[in-house]
Amino acid sequence: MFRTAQLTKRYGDVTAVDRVDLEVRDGEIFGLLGSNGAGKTTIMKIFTTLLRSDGGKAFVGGLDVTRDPLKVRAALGYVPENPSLYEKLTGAEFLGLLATLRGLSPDRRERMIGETARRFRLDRELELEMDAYSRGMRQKMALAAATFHEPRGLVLDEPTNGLDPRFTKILKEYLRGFAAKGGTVLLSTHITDIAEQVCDRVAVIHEGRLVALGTVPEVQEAAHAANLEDAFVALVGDA
Amino acid sequence: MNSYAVYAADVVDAFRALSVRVRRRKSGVVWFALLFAGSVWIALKLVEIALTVGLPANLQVTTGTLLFAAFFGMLAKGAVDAYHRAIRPESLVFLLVQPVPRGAVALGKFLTVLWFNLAFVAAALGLAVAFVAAGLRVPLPWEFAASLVLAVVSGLASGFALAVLGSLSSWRRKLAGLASYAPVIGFGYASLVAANAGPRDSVLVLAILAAVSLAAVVASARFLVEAWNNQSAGRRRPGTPRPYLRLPDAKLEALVDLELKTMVRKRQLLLTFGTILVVGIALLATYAFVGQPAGLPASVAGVFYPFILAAAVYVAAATQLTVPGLAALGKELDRLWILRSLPVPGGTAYAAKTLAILLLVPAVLLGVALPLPIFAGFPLAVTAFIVLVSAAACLALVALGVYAGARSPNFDPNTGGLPDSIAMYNVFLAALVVAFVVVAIPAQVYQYDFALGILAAILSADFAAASVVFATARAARRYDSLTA
Repeated sequence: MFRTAQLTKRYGDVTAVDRVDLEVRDGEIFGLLGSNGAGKTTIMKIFTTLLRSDGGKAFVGGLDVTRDPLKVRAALGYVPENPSLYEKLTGAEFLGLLATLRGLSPDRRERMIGETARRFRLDRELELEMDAYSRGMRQKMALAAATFHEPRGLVLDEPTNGLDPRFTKILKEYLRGFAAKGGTVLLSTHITDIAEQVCDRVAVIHEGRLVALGTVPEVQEAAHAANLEDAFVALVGDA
Repeated sequence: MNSYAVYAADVVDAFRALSVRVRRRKSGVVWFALLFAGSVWIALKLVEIALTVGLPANLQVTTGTLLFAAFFGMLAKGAVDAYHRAIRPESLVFLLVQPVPRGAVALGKFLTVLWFNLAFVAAALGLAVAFVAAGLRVPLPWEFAASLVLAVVSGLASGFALAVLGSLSSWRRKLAGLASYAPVIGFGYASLVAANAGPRDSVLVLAILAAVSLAAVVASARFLVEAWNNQSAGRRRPGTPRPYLRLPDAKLEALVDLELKTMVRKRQLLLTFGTILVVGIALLATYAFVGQPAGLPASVAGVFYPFILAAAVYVAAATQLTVPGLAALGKELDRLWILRSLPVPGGTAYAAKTLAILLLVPAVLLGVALPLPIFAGFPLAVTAFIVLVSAAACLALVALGVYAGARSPNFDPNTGGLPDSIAMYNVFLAALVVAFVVVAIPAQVYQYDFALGILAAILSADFAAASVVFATARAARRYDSLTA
């Protein structure tokens, strides 16, 4: 579903992503691990067509992200690290806007918004302007916005930010169900526990380069560590 | 000291942001310097002409009137600046939770607003002195310069206080807050305009006004937290959401609806209609007070009302049609991810932004361009011509705002997406030139033959409409090339 070939992105003199080769298979939950500024968000933004690479290629479902950006966007749902929303729209208006822009029929739109609101426990907040949402509610709304149209792939940048433990559990179950139905998830997280619990495979990114790739036990073994947290520290250093 | 710390941090932040934009567009600074100097010269030249030719006998502009106008203009500017710098930003939380008096925070924020605006006034006064020294025959007494600086300080401080009071949590509290400040503005009007204050008296009056206004800034800090919290208070809106406007294209309709709902709920539309109403009333009041301009040479008297009407349309269109276009992309800030991660072409996204602004054009025509010709009983052909050239000017100014806003968007959350002062000034002056060209050519043709003049006005409006389409297409291309 997601593939890169020698993907490179520079910001001035800083190389944020350095010749990364990555492949995420259909139906897989794939975790990107890395310190702050490692290049995880940059890779995700390139996949979602929010950013252009300076070298190499990125593909989503076989589509080149630079050549078919609209088709790529139609296939994906995305949650950024700090989702800002249209604060003067209600939740229902916001999801309605996205449904229209994704070309959903009115009947399908109503059904899917209703289902998503129930899934993410947003029923009571749908009629409230999003100005009044708490951090966690905004995150839930961003997750609802990324998933309500049943995309083929999800790109989630720190999806558990601001979520309480109860809802984090609901999200993890949802992601497993999504992948079981053939959906593909690319997520980034700082929390190694979450990666251990939900990810089929992980990649560790450090200073823009891929330093480890495989299942969680494979990465632990490569780093000679007892758990993913120790493996992560061993791979990227503790400085 | 705490105020200074807040002020210093704000200024450093704003200065660095400005430096980055200046480095990106060095030619903009050169243009700004030329246009700024040129506009100061034109203003002084107009004063010189007015002093030589004279004003209509029934329209006497006194020093007090000019100073009150400066006070009032700065009041509006201060309110807008205060809203974006001190009331709206979420980052204010980091200052509000510090163990310092909130008055110090408010004063620090006000000093930032004051610094930027006073810098402009100081530069303008410096240029004025240079031009007078170079030979322009305009009296520039020190009392006037001192009064002008005090009027700017008072106006900005009053605007700051009013922005806080006008952002309180309920309409009752808002009205009570605004009404409590009315005596201060009333004192300014009574002392400067009604009592026809001379230059020396003006210094005293404005010194008192400045002291009261500065005290109001500190006093308003008591309500700053309430105002700040109220900005993030969302309303419950039950029922099925319905679009404000039906359009054949569902995606375009949804995006226009997004723009309109945001404008309505942020009360921007209220501000727009309020401004148009004030400009329209000011026009009618001028006609009611002055009537037929007496004591002017026939050539000047003949263009007196067309000039005033054109100026009013320019003010309304530049502030209410060009400014929203300038902010159209910048105001998206970190929400750009929403539309950019959807399968929506940039052309549709930007067409919606432009269409939402175009919906305001009839308001400018009905509120500013039409009332005076109807009230004054202008012939039908003249009225039709005025409406057509006004429409042309409005469309051209929409196009300019959309184009310039996409060319150099400002994602600084402290400005509400508006470009920096330098870019804004350049655009406003460019708007003046564009509006002049769009109106002057048909006006020349009209003087030769009225039927041809009407046709020329239609052609001008056509070209202006085409420029809107062109500007939107260019803006969409820029939007598509932006990285989030």
